[in-house]
Amino acid sequence: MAASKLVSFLRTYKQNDMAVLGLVILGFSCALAVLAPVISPYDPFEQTNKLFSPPNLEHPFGTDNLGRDVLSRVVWGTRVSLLFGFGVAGISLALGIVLGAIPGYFGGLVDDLFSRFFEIYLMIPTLVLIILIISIFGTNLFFIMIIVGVTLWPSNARITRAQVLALKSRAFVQASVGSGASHLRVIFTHILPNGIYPVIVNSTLQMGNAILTEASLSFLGLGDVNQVSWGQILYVAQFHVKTAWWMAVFSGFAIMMLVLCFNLVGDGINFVMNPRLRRRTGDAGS
Amino acid sequence: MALLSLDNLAMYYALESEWVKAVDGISLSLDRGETVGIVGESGCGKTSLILSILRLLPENARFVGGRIVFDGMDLLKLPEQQMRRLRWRRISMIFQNAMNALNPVFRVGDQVAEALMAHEELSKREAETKVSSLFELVGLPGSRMNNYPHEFSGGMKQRAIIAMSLVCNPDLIIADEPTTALDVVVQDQVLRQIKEMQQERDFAMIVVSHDMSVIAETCEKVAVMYSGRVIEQGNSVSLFHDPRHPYTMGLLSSFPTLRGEKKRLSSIEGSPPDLSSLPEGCLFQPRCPYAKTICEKRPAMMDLGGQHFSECHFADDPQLRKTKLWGR
Amino acid sequence: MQPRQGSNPLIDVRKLKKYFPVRVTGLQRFSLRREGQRFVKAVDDVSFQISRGEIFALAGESGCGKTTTGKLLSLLETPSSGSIIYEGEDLANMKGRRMKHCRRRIQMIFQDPYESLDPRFTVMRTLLEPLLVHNIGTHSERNELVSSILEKVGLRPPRDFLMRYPHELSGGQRQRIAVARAMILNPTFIVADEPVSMLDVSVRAGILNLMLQFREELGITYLFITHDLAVARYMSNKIVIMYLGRMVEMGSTDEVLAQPIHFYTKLLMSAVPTPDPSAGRVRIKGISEVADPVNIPSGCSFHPRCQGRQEICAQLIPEMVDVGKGHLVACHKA
Repeated sequence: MAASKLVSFLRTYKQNDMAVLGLVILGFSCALAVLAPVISPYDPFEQTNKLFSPPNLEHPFGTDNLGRDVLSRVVWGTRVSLLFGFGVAGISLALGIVLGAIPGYFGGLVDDLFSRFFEIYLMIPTLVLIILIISIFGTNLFFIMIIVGVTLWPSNARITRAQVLALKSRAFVQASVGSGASHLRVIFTHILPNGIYPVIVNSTLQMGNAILTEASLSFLGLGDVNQVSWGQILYVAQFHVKTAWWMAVFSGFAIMMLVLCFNLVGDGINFVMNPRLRRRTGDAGS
Repeated sequence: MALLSLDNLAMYYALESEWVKAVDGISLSLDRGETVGIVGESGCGKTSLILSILRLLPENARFVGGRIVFDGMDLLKLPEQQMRRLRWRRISMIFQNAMNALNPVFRVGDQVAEALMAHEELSKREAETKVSSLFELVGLPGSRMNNYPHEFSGGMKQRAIIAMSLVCNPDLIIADEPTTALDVVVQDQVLRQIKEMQQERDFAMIVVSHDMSVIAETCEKVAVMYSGRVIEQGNSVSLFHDPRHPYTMGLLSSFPTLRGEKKRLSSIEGSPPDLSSLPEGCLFQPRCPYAKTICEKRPAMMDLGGQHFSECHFADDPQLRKTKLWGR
Repeated sequence: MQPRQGSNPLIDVRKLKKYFPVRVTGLQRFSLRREGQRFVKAVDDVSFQISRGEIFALAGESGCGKTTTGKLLSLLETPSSGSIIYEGEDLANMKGRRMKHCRRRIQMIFQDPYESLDPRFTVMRTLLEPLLVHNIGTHSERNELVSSILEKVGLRPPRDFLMRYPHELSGGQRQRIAVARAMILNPTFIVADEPVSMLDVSVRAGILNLMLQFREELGITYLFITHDLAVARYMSNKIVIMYLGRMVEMGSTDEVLAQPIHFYTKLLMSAVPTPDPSAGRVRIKGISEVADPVNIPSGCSFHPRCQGRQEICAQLIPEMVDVGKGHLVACHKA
């Protein structure tokens, strides 16, 4: 059943080396995030008087402008990045699926209205909107997460709508309708499970995007100062790039790796779902 | 001398740990101007067979034995460059669902002309003249040359594809299910057109189809394929009136007819063997209502005289012919 | 006019129409000189009756409206006008609970054996769905029903098939699952849309005979949609030939195929090849191809291709007239 599906999914997945690498990095990052209190050598907020010390045995990633250990901050920052990434992608996925499935399935006037709504929504410059709202309402992390999620759903909705449109006229969906299944049942048991994979791939890319957005916001000084995030590190680091390169380099590297790994995982899922991308084994005669 | 002769041809596909024996020892011959039909169901290897003749196989295909002799040349020994010169000029093909192969953004006439210019040194103008007369030949009005594929009906598209296969005036045309996607009236017209052109241009044809009625009406010789082998072949009159293999008999009594007596249809239980693990004995034995112990040994191809061959231990056994194997 | 059939027909279709609007895109929408909305008249004034236990064939070439008619009768499309009377009620305007109840009694078998099964569902799950939708039985009763229907369609032993996915089955097996799914709710009426045309020749008989068996044992009534007249002859006792959305000829299958009256029926029949190399075939010359369904010829839609056309044929749409023994033809010459 579901377990065997997962097993066969993973079996195909592991044929793609890059995808496996991505998954490994992701696993590693999750482990870091969970085990942060245990692993990190110092309290990330603890300020010492060893300001701007370059990487050494005591502080492998050096210290920052307040004497805080950069390694611990990078490790703790993984939590924020992952939380933000999954949170934003999750909100965007949920909104996108619902707002895409409804017009796709019901068509007609509903579709026209939703499409106009999408178009108007997409005209809004999202980064500017985010900055505006944050400037007005504050920089709480969860708040930022929700805002970013709410600006990212249109791409998921577009994909979902297209998938639903294509799937709803397929025979097995019609057969289900013909048996008397309700709209909800048809959408959630037949249409979405068969059409969701491009949306999932898009979501993994959005995770990477979200992390970059969080880093950008922090970099601009709009991040949540109560949290340790890689963007926060970069925010301070930008003023000291020449003198304390380790602050920018390690946090920047962490961002890059996590975004890369989400891209690889997304590719990996696509690889499994799209048999055409795999090596052709040839037509066994017909 | 025959125009084309397959001599114990064997072609297998190499999969990870096994061979898929799509063509397993097939012998056939075809004379100039003759039409041979290949009948078989999905998975029997007929598409692999015709792709073998044109050597248009995927990377993992391996010729394991036998020869393909075309007009005296051993095709399997030909270097690819020379094979390319043969393709389309002397042997061309009508692919299955070919009407979907027309590029929707180019005019039909241009596409046919392109096929011509790819093989012969002609100017665009000369090519267009030729294409125009080809259109007439296949029953398309010359004025439609400048239309796009979506402006053509299914039957017209198929005719355009047929015209494309004729551009270089080949000696042999291989047609893979040429009319399957067409409605019956159009199918009739297209088949008739092909026959007329064949009389005019005198090319030989191999028609692959699962529709035995189409085969019966268009082919002089028929070969029945099953699991990579030809289990019966002969001229169509004797094969249809006097089948000598239980599978052929099963096929013939499995579809309804519009004319003639109404009889209870029979279906052949089970499925054909997996091409990667063929049985030791007769390929059809597990599904054959006439199977006996001797069938555990592979039957040899029996020559029944008059160019009629069958791969069944009981091919010349009058008892087989008298028994009503299929249906009530 | 149609004669009323003896006893209560199971399905009474009256003046059924389904018109699809031709999409106007972009700037055309704002064109001031609108010529009026154009339609594809997929089903144009179709009327017939199907009696209990009958197999009624709907035959014609692609584009004639047979699939759309099938969808209308199986409640997958709603008619533009007309009515479908089933058990005293008009299916055309049914909604909600009534409709759900009717869906138990009317089922459909689709043409493509792969497409009609959800590729992510096991056989078991596919067959359970209708039972779950209508809340039938307890968990174990449902499992019982699934196993027993698999037996009935010839997939034995059932436990070998329950956990398989569609891609692990052959075309014939998949189509048997499709039949099982249609039958599991104990319907009275099944719309079969070209159920065997995508199957291998040697497998077709199995499905056809299975359908006949259900008719014999359980009295199932069928609307059998096909483009293959030979299959129609084998399966059905009544037939209607359609062309561009309209009926052209109707009657008992044996009668219509033995004595076709409409020129289109004659043309269709003469085009069917015979599986006998030595048999000759009398062909009727067909003029050009099927017309564009958006631009249906005026009057009798077949008249541009008809050998026997007269002046009136281009002007007036012929009605179906009874030429005896329940054999109806829509032709001015009949």
